[in-house]
Amino acid sequence: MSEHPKIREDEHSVFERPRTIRIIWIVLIASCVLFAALGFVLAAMHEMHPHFTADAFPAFYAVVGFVSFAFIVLAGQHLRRILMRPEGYYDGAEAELPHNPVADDAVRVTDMDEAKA
Amino acid sequence: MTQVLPAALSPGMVLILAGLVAALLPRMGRNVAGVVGVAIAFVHLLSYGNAPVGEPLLFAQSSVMGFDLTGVRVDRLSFIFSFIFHVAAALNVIYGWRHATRLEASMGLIYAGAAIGGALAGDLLTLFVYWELAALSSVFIVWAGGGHAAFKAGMRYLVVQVSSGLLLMGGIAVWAGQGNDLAFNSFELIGPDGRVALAPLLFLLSFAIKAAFPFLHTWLQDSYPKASAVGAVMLSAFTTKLAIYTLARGFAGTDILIVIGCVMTAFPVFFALIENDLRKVLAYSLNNQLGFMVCAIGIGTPLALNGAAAHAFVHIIYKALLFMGMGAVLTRVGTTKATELGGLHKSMPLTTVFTIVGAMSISAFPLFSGFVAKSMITLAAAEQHHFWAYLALLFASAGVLEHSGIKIPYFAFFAHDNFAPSITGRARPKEAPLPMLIAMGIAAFLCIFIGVVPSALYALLPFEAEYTAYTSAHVVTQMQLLMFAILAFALLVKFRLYPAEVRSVNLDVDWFWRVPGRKLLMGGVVWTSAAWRSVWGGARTGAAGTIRRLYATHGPEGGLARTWTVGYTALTTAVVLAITLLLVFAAG
Repeated sequence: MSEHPKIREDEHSVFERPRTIRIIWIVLIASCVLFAALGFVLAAMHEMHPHFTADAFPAFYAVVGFVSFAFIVLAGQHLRRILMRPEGYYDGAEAELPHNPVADDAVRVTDMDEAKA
Repeated sequence: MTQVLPAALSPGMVLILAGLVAALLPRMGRNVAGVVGVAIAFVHLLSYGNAPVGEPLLFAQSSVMGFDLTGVRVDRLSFIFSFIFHVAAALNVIYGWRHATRLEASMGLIYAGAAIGGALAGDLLTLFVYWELAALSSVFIVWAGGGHAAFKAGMRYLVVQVSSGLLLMGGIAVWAGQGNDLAFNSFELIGPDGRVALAPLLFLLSFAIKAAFPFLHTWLQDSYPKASAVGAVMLSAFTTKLAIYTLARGFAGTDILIVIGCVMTAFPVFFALIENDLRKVLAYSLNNQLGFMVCAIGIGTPLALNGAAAHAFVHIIYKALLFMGMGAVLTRVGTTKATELGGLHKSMPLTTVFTIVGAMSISAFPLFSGFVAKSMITLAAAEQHHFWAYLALLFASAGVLEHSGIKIPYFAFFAHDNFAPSITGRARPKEAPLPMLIAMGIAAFLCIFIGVVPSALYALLPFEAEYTAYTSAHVVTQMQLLMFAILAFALLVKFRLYPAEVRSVNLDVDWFWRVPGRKLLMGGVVWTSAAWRSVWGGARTGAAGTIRRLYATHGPEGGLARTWTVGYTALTTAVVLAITLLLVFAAG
């Protein structure tokens, strides 16, 4: 995500190095291929036990997973056009005011405990 | 096993007493009261022994005003729920060891006790008492979040929770009025005449509110994220799962619940996607998980009901774990908004690992606890040939992976590093405090343990149903679903199609009563006061006018009070006499 300020090279963790990211991609794609292939193997061995017509296709779950996820992300973000409001929409600035006798009291009591301890 | 305490004393009451004691003690005393209370209550529960299937053990039976009450009913369904409520209560005490306020520590125990008492209640009146106690104790936990927003959210929470209690009470009144006994068993929503029966409908509505059915759900997303780090973990476990228990007890096999459950699993997925506050994402995720359980209860076969109970069991642990992870972030950073987080794995590695364990459990990866429970529900849907429900559950499973499996850990601990010292000029946030790490560690261990040894969980399940989680077909189909969904995520991020987080509030159906509803209410208040003022004002003006006129004639300065001369008086008397004389003459 390049719109964020760059951090120093020595602040990168192992998960942010290009090499690691490449390995993650390879593992991800390899496991996708593996489990899709296993689906066909199990189907050939009659181990899949489909309950409907659709899930008799050996990669049915792969398709459902991919399409559902992509649909949720691509369609869901448009909900923002209707639903998104600025922060403080309901309660405004007053929401930030500490105005809660119950909690304030509890916090004060706790602090006294810790002063004693 | 012999009883350690009188069998008539509900384990829930033990925790409520511990909570009352904790309210009077300093921090260490509260912690000890919590640990000892949970331990005694748990041993007490275990000493009842798990009843055989279909043979409940009844205790504390009494008769009040002709109603038979059963304070404690131990059967396999109530046992598994009470069992997991104890585990959650123990995790709460450890997690809040250093951070729970007096109010949270005390009310947390009472709240847990109310949930346990409710799950073990054998009759509707006892259930009602614990039902309301759970509402009243938990609202203090919402308020303890502090600030005006938490206070107002707590008020809304209280109104909703008490409404649920009122519906339950109304249902009990109608039910008893129809000559039924008060034992809490299953109800028929559709009566023998084919019409919806009133009392069961009221019960269902009451349970529906606490189980956060669609359109009744917003109290959950409103209040939980406003509680403190510790408070949200406490809240996540009890209210909704007690409602799931009551639904499983009262409405197993009610068809409408399949549809409701499917809607419940699907719609929060979209809200979770666009939500910025990660604890609110977890609240939507909670809603989605409840949908799986509600759907299973609607299917109603022994396998499905076992799936609902198992799912509630594992869900309480991993949902608490996820809330604990976010609570640790909140404690160290002061916010759980995705826009403000990122890169925390560098300085909070243990919290990261534990949260990822929770994320993989909720996403139902094989070898994690979600897998061994959720697969029972999807299989039950398939066996009953509910194709659309099955598809909805698969869709929702991809959704769970999106918001809880990926979004929570990714935005909190990875994504863009917002805490690099070269940007902030400060040291990175520290790892979570030790008690929080211990609680998260225990929860993470349980998630993996149940995932690896599912037979430990299956031994507790309420019904007899054969099930094997680890078949090659189950593992391969689930891994296909998950890995291809992750592939979709990776591609969407790579091609910049994944939406960035935005500081915002997203509207939900509570907008209808928080904005136009509030305006309508305030308009009603203004109109009523105006009407009152005109009625009362009119009456007052009228009365004042009458008094003024009376005063004008009868007052000290009035016409009737003036002094008269003797001659005028004699003349008046003569006139009156003359009139009288004439009248008497005429009458005669």
